[in-house]
Amino acid sequence: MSTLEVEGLTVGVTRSPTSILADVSFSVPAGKIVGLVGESGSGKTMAALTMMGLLPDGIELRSGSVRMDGRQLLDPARMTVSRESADMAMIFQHPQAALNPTMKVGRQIARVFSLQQGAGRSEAMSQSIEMLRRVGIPGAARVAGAHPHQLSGGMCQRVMIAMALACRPRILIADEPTTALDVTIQAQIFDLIRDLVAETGAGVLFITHDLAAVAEMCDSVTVLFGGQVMEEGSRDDIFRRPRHPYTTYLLDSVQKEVDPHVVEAGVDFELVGCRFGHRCDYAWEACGEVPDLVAVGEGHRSACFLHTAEVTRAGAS
Amino acid sequence: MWSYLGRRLLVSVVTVAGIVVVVFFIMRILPGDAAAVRAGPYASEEKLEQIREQFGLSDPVPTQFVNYVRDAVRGDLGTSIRTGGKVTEELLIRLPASLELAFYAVLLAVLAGVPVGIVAAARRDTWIDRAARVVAVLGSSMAFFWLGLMLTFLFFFRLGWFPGPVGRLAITTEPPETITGFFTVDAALAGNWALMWEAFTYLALPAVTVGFVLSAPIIKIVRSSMIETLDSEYVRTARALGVPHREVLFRDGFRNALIPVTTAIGIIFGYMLGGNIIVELIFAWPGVGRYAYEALRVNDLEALQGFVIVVGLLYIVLNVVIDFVYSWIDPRIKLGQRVVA
Repeated sequence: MSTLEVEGLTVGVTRSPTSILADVSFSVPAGKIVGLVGESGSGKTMAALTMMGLLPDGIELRSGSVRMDGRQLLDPARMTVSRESADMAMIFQHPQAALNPTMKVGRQIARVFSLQQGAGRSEAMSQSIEMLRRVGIPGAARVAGAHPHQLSGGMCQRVMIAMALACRPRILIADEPTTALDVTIQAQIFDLIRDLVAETGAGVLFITHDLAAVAEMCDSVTVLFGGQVMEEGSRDDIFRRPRHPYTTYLLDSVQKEVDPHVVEAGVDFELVGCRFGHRCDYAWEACGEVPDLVAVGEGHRSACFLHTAEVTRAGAS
Repeated sequence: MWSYLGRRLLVSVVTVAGIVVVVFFIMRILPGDAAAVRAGPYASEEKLEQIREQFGLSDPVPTQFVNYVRDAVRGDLGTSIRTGGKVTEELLIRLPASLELAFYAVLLAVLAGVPVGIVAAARRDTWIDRAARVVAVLGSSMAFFWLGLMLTFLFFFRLGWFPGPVGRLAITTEPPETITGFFTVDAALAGNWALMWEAFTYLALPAVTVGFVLSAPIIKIVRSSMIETLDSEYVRTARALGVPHREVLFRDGFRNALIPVTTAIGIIFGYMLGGNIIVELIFAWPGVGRYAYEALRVNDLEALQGFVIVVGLLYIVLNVVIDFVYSWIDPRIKLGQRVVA
């Protein structure tokens, strides 16, 4: 059963034809970790902010649907995801910057409890200490009285996760949760997220550019480039049977030196058609159009004219 | 904290010593002859010599300096050649007048500027924000003398709502017994509410004049630092977790914008410490600004020196207070560490 279903999400710059996300769809089933992968500027974070109803000024949601168990969360009049109905919580890339510097961390968690359950001040505080214990913080009562600048990055991320859990989310959006942390701490945070999924049955949308993290954490993966979905499938599909040229390129980039010119090319959001077109070795005239996602296996879809061309060629011969 | 205070005190002594040295020698470099001013244009050479002798102006400069410092340490800042009175006493009478005006003017500027700045930041690029920016530009380009005269014309001359520009109280009114030197406070302490009210009515126009002009920088700094905090990641977090808009605005936004705002208020108050010469002249306000101005006109060296040293001392005290406020509003700042705001 799918818990969160996102369909046809299109997000653009206000008063400009440029779209940052073009017709993006994915789903996050309960109890699963779904990776949203892509390089910087691919629209991963924008997708997350859209779902949280937190798009910055100057960026607008143009169309799409965000459903939780079939219930539409998108307010069509205001073209934003309404915060009240969403059972989603988000953790961020820079845990230290994401916490209020002038507020004790215990209070920051406690106020979420007060908001969510109307708990009184002291009750919310004891719940918050309990939550700190649950995310594996030793000396939780002491840490609750600390300010964020007194804690390490890993500790802050645990605090952040505790805050998110205080919302009792059914979907946790983790935006590059370990990018700012070192490898040992990263492993601990991964373990924590996995434990929480097992414990609470929440689904996780795991946003990262780190393929190793994806391979370790995710059940299924959606590959994003230039705001378009390139390929989606199970972890094994993506890592063992990649079909899209961009996915292949992304996997190759981990193993070998990448031609810096290709990397520096970045994303051209003005480009019509497939956004990967100008960097793709296989690009031809057809790539001036946007390719549809086509099934290339069981639960495995890819958006590239190569697949349809193969079909046409196979049919012709 | 005590070691911090001790260190600050030590640094302050050095600072004051620096102020004294610099001020003393600059005054001696300035052209002009105070004795000639005091004696008048038709004084004889003997008379001039006599005045110089009387005020110690004929001594060699190093001797003058040693004498000055010896007296200053005991709290005696010398004698005004213009009035013949003791500089310390004359300053202590006038200082509360300037400080009271400065206090209420800054208070008005903060009470008006902070809410306007917050609303402007919260409703960025709406008509409210634009209106706030217009007010800020208007305030910062407004001349004290023009605004002071206009307010007097309208509210005293035309409408008669406030008393005329004749100082801190009506000429016939006996001022309250001096406790703090603030007439509003002293009158209240004496339980004389009518007198307190009168003091407020005389304060109103000059305080509004200065307050309006000073609200401009406060609006600007509150608005820009609020915009910065409202764009921060922790505000995004608070919103992501469903914290209500109002709480985000104050607890996450404004609370974290307080450091630059405090800095700005400190600078503005420091700027007002020496009194505001123009406003004091327009409203016949018996403050230190006017005193310094009169002293400067007639080359009254000791009065000017005394003024600069006293204002310097107040400035040092103000900075210590601001440092305490910093450490109180931001847990990341501990006293004794440098603040980069």
